[in-house]
Amino acid sequence: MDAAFADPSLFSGVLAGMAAVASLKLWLLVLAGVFLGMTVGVLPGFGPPAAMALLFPLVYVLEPLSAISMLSGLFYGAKYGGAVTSILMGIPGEADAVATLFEGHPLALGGKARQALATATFASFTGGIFASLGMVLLAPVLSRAALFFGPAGRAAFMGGALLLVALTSPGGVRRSLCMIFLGLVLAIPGMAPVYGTSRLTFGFWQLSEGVELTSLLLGMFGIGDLLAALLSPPEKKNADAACLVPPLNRLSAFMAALRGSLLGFLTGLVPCGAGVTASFASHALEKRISHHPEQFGRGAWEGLAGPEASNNAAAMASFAPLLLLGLPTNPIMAALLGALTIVGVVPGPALPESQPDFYWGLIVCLLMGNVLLLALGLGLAGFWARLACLPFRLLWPVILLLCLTGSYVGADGMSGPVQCLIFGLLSVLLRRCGCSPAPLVLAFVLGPRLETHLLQTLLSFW
Amino acid sequence: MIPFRSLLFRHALRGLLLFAGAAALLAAPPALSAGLPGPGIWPRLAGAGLLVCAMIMPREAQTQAKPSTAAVRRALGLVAACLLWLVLLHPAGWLPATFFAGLLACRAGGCTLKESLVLSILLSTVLWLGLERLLQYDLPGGALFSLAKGN
Repeated sequence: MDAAFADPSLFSGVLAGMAAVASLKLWLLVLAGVFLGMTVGVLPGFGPPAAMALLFPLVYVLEPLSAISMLSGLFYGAKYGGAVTSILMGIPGEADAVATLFEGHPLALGGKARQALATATFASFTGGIFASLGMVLLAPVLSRAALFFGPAGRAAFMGGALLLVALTSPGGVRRSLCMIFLGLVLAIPGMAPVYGTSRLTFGFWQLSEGVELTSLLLGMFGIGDLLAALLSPPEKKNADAACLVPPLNRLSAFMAALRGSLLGFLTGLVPCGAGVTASFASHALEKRISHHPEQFGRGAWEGLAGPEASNNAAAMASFAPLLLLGLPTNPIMAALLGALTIVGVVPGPALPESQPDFYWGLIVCLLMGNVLLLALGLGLAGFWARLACLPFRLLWPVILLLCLTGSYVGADGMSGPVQCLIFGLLSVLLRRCGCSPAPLVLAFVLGPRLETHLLQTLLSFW
Repeated sequence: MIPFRSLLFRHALRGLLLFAGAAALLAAPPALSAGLPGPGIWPRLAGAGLLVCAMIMPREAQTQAKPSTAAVRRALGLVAACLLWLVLLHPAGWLPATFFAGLLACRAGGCTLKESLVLSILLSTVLWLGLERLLQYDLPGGALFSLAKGN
């Protein structure tokens, strides 16, 4: 880390980033991203990948830093939103909010919902800031380490990442491997990355540019999530506890949040469902070191703050492998990798030096986005509780039409919504068969890169 | 004895995966190009991998509870709304297509007629303003609109 502090390019880079974010429009978009993320995290039957997919077409019309910062805000905002439903209703929006539920929901039922929400907000903020600062220090180190990897190393690294995803995804290894290979095959039609020749288009000119990432995301996570939620309606909710609480009078479990942040940051760097692993590990750690382990499960503040901080730190830390190695660790990062490609940003070890205004600007946006998350989380706690009660029947037509329009905009033609519908139906079939679409999307995004590195390796040894 | 429909569903995914793997293998360009690894190597590797994985995929398929008739009806309503939007988009234009598809989706989802109308009008107007006016994206106006303009 001493090298990081001594590096003059770090300071010039940070200055370039500060200059790049001096725009009111950018801050409004980050605010919109965080707010929308929190909203979708709270809304029933609507996950962060679906929200990311819905806003994905905006990368075609916004500035690169604005678009990526907004999508990033959506991501960590949604992570926080999952904690709100966990605490108030006992319904985790995502798997990594389950550990928050263990302590948060009993606290809400005990009349401490507002304190629990405030603690979760502060813990999320701590985790986010910790991981963002960690990325600042890690960037020079990781950049230098990544320079030692040639095409063979990168191919092995990507293959290893996919294998790790297969080993840790829900549904089992064999199903996940199927999804990974299906994702790789779906990425093949169109132009071959190294040779530039057309392949597997079967005579359809619509396939000459390959399968649209926007349509795949909107189909798999937008329409797919909708159909899955319609076929198995969400549980009956009860958010009454949110209104029956005294005001917050103290901050607790700060140390637990710090421990959770460190744990989350370290696991977030690895592609294996980091948020879930980190939040459960943090809950277990807090229980192990607590003087009152019997309180866990009945509303222990440390058990709430630790997992919530680790969850958010893991989310933030997953930006490091994405930006510095070009390696997405979850489907949302895969979507962001696609967005980076569209806006012309090449992720990799050289990014902090080749595009310092973008890289450091994004880090500044991540830091400030967490401050906005804190403000929105504390200021609008009552609003989130009411929003969670919105009937699903009013939401899903909106989501559906956003998916269709978004895929039309993404593909700039009818092939987008057609592909979106096909992938939506495929997503339902996959889920009904116990397969998770997440490895498929990761493999789809990584496929062309993996092929390029593999071919370069083969050509160099031939 | 397993009913035919259940059996079909159970093997639908495996069949789909086998088909995709075989298509990638058979339709791939040559593996070698001028004696060097060519653009066909990767499709062959991925296709072969998919075929192997499809064969070793666990046999048991349906892991979730059977959805209720009402749930299936709502899901079919969603698909019908999608198809209506696709059919109407170019002849009628984005705005009418979104309005009518939204109306159908709302009704299928269990909204009252009043809710459906309000939601469809609000949604199509807000989206149109956002995309056409704010982001300057050119949404399809429709053949009828073009005819009315005399184009």
